[in-house]
Amino acid sequence: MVTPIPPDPTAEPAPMPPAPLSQQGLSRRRFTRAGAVASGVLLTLHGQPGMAAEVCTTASGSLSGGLQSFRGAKPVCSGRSPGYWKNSSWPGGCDKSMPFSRVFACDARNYKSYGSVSLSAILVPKSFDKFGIGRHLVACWLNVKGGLSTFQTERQLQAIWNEYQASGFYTPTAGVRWDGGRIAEYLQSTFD
Amino acid sequence: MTQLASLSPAQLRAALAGPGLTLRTGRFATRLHTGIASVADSLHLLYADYPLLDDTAFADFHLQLTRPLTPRRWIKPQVTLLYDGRSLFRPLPLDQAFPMFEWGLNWCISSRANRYLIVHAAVVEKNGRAAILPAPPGSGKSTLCAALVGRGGWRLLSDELTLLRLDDGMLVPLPRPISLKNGSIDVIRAYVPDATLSRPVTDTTKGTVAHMKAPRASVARAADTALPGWVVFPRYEAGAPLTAQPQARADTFMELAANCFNYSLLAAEGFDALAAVVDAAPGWRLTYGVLDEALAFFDSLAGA
Repeated sequence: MVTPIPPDPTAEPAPMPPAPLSQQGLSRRRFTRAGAVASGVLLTLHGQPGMAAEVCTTASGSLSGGLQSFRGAKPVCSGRSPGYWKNSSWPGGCDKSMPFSRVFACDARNYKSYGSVSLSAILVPKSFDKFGIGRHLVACWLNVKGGLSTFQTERQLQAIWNEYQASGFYTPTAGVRWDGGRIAEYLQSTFD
Repeated sequence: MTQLASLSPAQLRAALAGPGLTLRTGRFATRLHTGIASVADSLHLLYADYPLLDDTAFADFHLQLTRPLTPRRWIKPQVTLLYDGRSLFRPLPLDQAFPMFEWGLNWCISSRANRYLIVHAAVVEKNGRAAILPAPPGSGKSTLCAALVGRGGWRLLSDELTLLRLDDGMLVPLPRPISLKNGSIDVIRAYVPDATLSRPVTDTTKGTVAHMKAPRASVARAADTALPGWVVFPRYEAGAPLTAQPQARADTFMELAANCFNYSLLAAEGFDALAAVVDAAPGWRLTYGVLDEALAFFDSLAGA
């Protein structure tokens, strides 16, 4: 149930009464007051195509039965986690000892942390790897290389890293900003 | 109004192979041509109670199921679905011709009927109010839907496509055969012994698929809309006791939106329509291991 918000006695009187809300406006207000937190999330419902939540769990994806469009193959959504890649062999051409910074360029601030470890070393949780972003990015990168996530690309993952490294955020689509926690949540959502 | 049952299997085959037939399912009329016998026979089994329209009637969708004339037709015969005479999908093994018709019609509605907000969810009604069951594949949604309408006395509106009318928020029925997969085929055979099921088709991308005939009473009431009453997110878990948790409306909204085909397309209209559903229909998260218990829970909702 929505509880009405009592008037604030300290507030200045409004110079003009607001125009009455339409029926639609009322329903919108009723709902958004009930779920103010969720309404901020509404924007993320249709992020850029290529997000796992969009590609792998769309209603149309689960409905289409056995129909396969001529327009490209169905996406593969069977990404593996960092824990899996820590203990398993890597896709051809991926070198466990390659520096992390060779795939995800590191600036001066990360020179001694991310810049000093290999791709396989970062799969083991590190104190500097806040939210496990490095760990999850490497797992996603291996998923792309191994054909386990066909909706992501190496460049897309690098774009996430570059923007996060520079600003602490990633902008999946205009007007939406993901902090480190939300980025990690997205990356993890691509693991099967 | 002629019903499909008025044709013998041989007449139905001949009509489909010749001029074609226009079949009415709820709000939609589909013109179908096919010379494939298995499609005609499955239609005869599962669509007997549906109205046939005359050849001049308007059809929303024009579908053809044909056999591509490639050399492989001798070794591995295939079937192609044509929409408005065009091939949009890869051919499938001939054995999957009838499921391909069902999938194709779902695709037509979910990608074309944008005057409705369309949710990927089963929807069933009792005492005038409807329960909407959105769920990811594999959560037991269709099994539960088949049990509710086959044994629980609920009316089938749809097992896959919930159509919400934008101007008044009513749910528009689309009663069609219920698609059952793999283990749920035998579960429903045992649980609803008098159900009519099509021959299971193996090796589809979804595994083994069979369709259960929609109850005659549900088909007869295809014009009666229903009010949204509840949104229930079901999850089947073998051996689990029944748990039903009320869900916050914001969460219900988000999950419904994520299960919509055209939420983004309808923009503000879609938001308002979903907000109205969430305002009217409390959300529940249901885990069940026994169908009897799940049906009892639904009856407690409906006050039956």
